[in-house]
Amino acid sequence: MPNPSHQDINEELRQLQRDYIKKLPGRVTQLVEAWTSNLAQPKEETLQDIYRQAHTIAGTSGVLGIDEVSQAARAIEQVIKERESNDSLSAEETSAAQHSIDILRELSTSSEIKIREINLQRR
Amino acid sequence: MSHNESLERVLYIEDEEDIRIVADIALKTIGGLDTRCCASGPEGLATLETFPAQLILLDVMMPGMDGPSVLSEIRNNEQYQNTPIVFITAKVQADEVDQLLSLGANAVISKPFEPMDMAQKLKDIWEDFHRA
Repeated sequence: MPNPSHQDINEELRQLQRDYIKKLPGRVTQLVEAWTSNLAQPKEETLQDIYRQAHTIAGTSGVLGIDEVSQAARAIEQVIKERESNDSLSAEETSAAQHSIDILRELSTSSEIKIREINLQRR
Repeated sequence: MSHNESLERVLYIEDEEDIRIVADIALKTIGGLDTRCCASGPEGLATLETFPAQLILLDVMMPGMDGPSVLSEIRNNEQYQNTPIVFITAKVQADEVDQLLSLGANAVISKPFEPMDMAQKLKDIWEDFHRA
């Protein structure tokens, strides 16, 4: 069987990006649900869950070239990681995380989401 | 230490399926490396029983068994005591990198990584490891 051409691989990567964007609203909804639950009843366990979800979205989006989503998720991750108290966020930390969650939610359902092409040409 | 062996076999343990797919393309198709991608620490440890990886790439944050726990298990296996292990993580602050290296890793790659540069990066780490 011949090796796939760069064109084939590029198309496979583009398809992977498109499929990921379709999955993104569901993943963000899960994160928002955990966030809402934490606002109602702050718990260290829920904060850890939000941290893990934001970390995963940030990492995968970054690798797949969905950079704005990656940055918004990374900002949530950072706020939680650097929080002063283990089991809750301060008003300032809550506000910063909420801001990034709003951005993430908007981006995840936007039809104009920016996708950086994963180019096979070495730089 | 001198060596004549080139890097051919890589094991990557990563819980995120989309990243595994990109890494598989980057390492296998682009980099020409015989690559196995596993979704969890236990799966990776089982794979090492039959796939003699020369270099192991390990995600840090995974559900269940995290990267440092997997590293510790790998180092308990005599066959892999000296195998280079590379952590891949978003935690790139210097003190966190130092902490990961102190666990016995040989290098740390930051995530998100550039998929098309990944194979070359691992080959460079492999060369540095044998030059040391």
